[in-house]
Amino acid sequence: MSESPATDRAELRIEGKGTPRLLLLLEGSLSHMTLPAVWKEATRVVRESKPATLVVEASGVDYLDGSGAALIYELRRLQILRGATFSLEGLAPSLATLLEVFHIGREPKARTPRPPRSLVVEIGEFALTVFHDARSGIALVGESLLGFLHALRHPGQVRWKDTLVVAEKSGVNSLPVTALVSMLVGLIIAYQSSAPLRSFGAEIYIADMIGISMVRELGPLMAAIVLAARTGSAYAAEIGAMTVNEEVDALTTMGLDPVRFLAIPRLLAGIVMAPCVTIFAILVGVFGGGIVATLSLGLTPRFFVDRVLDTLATWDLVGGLLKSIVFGIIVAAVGCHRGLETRRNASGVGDAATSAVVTCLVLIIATDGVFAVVFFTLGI
Amino acid sequence: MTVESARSPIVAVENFAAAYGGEIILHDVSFTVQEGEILVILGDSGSGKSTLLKHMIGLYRPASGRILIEGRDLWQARGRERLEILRKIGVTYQGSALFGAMTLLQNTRLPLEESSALPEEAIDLVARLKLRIVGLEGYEDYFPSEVSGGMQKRAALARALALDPRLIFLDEPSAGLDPLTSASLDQLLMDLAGTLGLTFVVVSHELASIFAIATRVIVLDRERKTMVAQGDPCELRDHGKDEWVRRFLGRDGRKSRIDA
Repeated sequence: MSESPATDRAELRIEGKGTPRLLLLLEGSLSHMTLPAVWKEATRVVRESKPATLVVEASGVDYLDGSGAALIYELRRLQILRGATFSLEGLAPSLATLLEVFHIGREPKARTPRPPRSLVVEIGEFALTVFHDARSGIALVGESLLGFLHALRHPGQVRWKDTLVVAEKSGVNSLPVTALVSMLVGLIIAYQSSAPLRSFGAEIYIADMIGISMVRELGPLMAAIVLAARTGSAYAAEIGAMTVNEEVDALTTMGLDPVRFLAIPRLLAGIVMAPCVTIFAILVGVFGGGIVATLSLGLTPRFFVDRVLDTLATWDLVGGLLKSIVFGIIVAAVGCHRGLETRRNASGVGDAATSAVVTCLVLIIATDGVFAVVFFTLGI
Repeated sequence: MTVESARSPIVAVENFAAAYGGEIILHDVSFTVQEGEILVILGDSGSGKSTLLKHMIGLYRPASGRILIEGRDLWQARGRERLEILRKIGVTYQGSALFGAMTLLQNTRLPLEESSALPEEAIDLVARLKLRIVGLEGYEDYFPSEVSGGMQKRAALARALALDPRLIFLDEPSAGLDPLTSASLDQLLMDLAGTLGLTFVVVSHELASIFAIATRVIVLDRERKTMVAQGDPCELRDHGKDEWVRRFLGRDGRKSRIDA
């Protein structure tokens, strides 16, 4: 190993195949580059002919690396396992030191057993994880609430600069993609519903439908989905990376509450920006529907706008915006929670971001369902 | 091997300069590494030790000058030739850089799986033997997060040894280790250099470790932005020409630059 290989070939000659004494003559350079063919051939012939004595003649070997040493180890092991004899002859002393380094003559040490994991343990651990998740989620809600009360009493202590930066990133920067999604949803709904409406001669109701569905349902939902995908995952990844880098620990030891420091600005940004993004999504969505109504169904733009405004009641908008505030809180809270709960390994941050998006979407749809029932019951 | 080629250096750094964002960090650095040596690169924080190492292993391109590994310049080599040079060197990083989703055995197997045509059982055995020589036999199935920092460093060394490189670069091998673990890692390096004839280039600022392992040191200075001394560490400490180097190696706190 201390010298460069003089040749770049490994050669194997076999003598006494099928007899009790098998002789393997190894020559040249035994390295991981040259060995593959020789390895297969040598181990195959020893396995097949099962000699009582195996002699490896290595005087022609001029270079040996870890792979070469491993071959000799393997040949020896195959013999010892069957209770047969093995001998190595003629290996240059400088190369033989390598075999000593690898302790070729020593049997492998038993593996240190990993703690056993049965199905029961797996199920138990999963249950504990769910329980822990729920508990830490509730704890975060409580801590955030306390943080909010603190922020109300001491508005000067809120990190307004951070809040503005986060608000810009999560709100303003998400407008282009929100516009695209809402516009397309508006267009699609108008097109899909125009045919059935036309068959009843009820084209003019397209304005009512677009207005109500956008304001009450689709605007808040589209905005929330975009926020969950863009912002929820970003919060989880950002705070997750901070957790992995021990930055969160550093905050704690400096006497700064990570929830107050990291979560409150994001929650405030979510509460303010979600309704703004929602209003934007509603306007663009109605505009998208309006394009179809005027170009395909022959309504005038003026008529479409008047009709939409006539249909909508104040409660429709208030209900939609109320929902969007709740969605904004869900996105920010789940993102922060997943970030703070990140496991400290390579896949931790990725897992946190993924689980933030999935949890956000599930909670948003579930909450939307609850809102639908409540609004229906109240007759709003 | 002829006598002449035995003397040719395994690494040659010639008039090397490094720049970051247009600003020169290091300049006029020239030295060689001989086969079988443990060369330690040392210097104060920010002097460019790790930067120099990262240039030597081909991660960064020198601003000027060149670095030859076995007479070949990594930045002149293309494609296959570059890969060939890279396979001849092993590297361990400050944070061990083991892949967290793989066991220690899988980490050690990876270079072999990717660059050799050895059969499966052979790769497995070679990887096990590499873990054995760094003293991790029995821990093959553990994940990096389940073993101690010292064991992670050893596993990283086993992975660096997987393809039997003759030249190994280590960035701060003893960082974050207690003195005893650090000393046992030093002993391992010396054993490997002695028995396998490996050459080590080590970045370190642990004086105890440097005096124990270094056959030669080169010293970088942050203020002068260059190499200010090279040679035997004890010789430099006791009789070196440069006063700063003598103080640095003697660690005479009363005269440190911070106080001055």
